[in-house]
Amino acid sequence: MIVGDLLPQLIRSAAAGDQRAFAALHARYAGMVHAILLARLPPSEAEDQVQEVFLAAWKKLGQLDEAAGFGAWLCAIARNRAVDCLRRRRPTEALQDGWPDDAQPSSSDVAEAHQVLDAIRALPDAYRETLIMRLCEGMNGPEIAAVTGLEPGSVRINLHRGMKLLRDKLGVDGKVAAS
Amino acid sequence: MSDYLFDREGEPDPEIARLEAMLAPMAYRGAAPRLPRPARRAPAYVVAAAAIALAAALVAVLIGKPWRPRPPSGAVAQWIDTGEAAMRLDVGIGSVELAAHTRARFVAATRHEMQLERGTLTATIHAPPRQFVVRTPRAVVTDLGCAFAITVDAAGRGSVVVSEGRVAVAGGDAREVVVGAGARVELSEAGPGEVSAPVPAPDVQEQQGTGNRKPETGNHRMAPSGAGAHHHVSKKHPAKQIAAPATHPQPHTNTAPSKKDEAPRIQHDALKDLKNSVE
Repeated sequence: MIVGDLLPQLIRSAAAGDQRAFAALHARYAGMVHAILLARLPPSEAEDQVQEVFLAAWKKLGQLDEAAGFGAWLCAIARNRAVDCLRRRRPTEALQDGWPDDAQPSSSDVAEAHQVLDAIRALPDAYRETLIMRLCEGMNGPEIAAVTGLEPGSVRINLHRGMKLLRDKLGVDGKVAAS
Repeated sequence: MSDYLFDREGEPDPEIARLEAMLAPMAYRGAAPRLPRPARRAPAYVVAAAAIALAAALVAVLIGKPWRPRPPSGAVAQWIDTGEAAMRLDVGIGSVELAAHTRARFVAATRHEMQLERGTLTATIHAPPRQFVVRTPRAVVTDLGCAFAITVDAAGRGSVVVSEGRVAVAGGDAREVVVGAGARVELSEAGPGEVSAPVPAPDVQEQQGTGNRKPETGNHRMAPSGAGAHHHVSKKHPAKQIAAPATHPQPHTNTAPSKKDEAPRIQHDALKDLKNSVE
C-alpha cells in the first residue's frame, strides 16, 4: 500500500519519467482498473486493456492537476477505454471468453463464474465496479475507497446494495435465477 | 459488529466467501507495462530545420513551382526489393527484417504499417497491441505485442508463425484469428486458415521470394503455394479463436508443445531454419 503522503511524490516522479514510481502506481491501482474493465469487457480483453489504460495514463500524467484526484482520473480513463473497446467490437463477438493466464478451473466452475459475472455486470455501474473490486480483486472496502477516491461510507453502501441486488438475481443456492 | 462484506474481517458470510472463491481466478495478475520514453520537446535544431523547410515550401508556392522533399530511404509508398541480401529496418517501435527476395513497403508515415507483397518479413515489436500492421495480398496481420514472421507468395499464400506474444490475422471476410506464441496459421487465397502449432522438421526447406515454395511434409503444415495446388482451409471454430485468452497459445493440434515455455524456443528454431534456407 502507498501511504497517502507518498502518492503526490510518486505521481510527480512518474510524470517526470520515473518508471519505478509508475510501476508502484501500477501495483496499487491495477486491480481497480481491471475491475472497471472487467465490469464491461471479457476477461482476456480486460487484462489486455489494463496495459492500455496505464500507457494512456503515463502519457497524460503531466495533465493531472491534483494528485488526490489520481484514482478518479484513472477510473475515467479505464471507463472510456472500455467504451472504446465496446464500440469497436463486432456484433458477433461474444462478451464471455476464456480465463486469463493460468487460472483454469473446471468447465462447470467457469460457466458458473461467468453466470455470476454476467449478473454483476447487469447491476448499475457503481455497484458492479465495487463488487468486482471486492469479490474478484480481493480488495476490502477501505482499500476500494482509498484507490477510487470514494468515501468509505459510500463504498459500504455500494457493496451492500449491490450485494442485495446480486442475491436477488442469484437463486437460494447461489445459481443464477431463471429469468 | 463485523461487516465481512466491507472489511473482510470476522466470520465470513458463506455465500460471499463462495463468490470470492469462484471469481478470484479472474483477478488481475499482470505486470506493469513497458513504457515508452516520455515525450520531450524537440531540440532547437529540429525546430530550426522544420522552419527552414516550411519557409522553402512557402517560397516555392509563391513562385508557382511545387516544392517536394526528396523521399528518404524506405519512404511511404516506395517499394523495397531486397534482392539477394536480407535487410533490417527500424520501425520506431521495433525492428523488421526482410529476407532475401522480399518485396515490401511502408504504407503509413509512422512506419507502423507495411505491405508485404512477397517474401518473408520478420518483426520484433515493442509496443502496445495493434500498433504495427502488415498487409499481405490476402490477409492483414496485426501485432498484439510480439515477435513473428510472415511468409507469403505473390498470390497471398504462405504462413504466419509467432515466436513471442500474439498476433491477430484477418482475412478478406474480416474473420480474425488470434495466433499465440509457438503457433502458426496458414494463409491462402481465402485468408487465414486453422491455427496450428509448429513442429520443426529437419527436412523442412522453404524457398521463398520467387513465389514458389515446396509443399511441406509431415506435421509441418505450411500451405503449398505452387500453381494449381489445392489448399484446404478449415474454418472451424472461428469465434473460439477470436476469443482466445490473452496469453494462451492456441492448442488446436496434437503437435502443440507440452510446456508453455518450450514454444518460443521451438519457434526460434523454426525461424532459424527458415532464415538458413533463405541464405
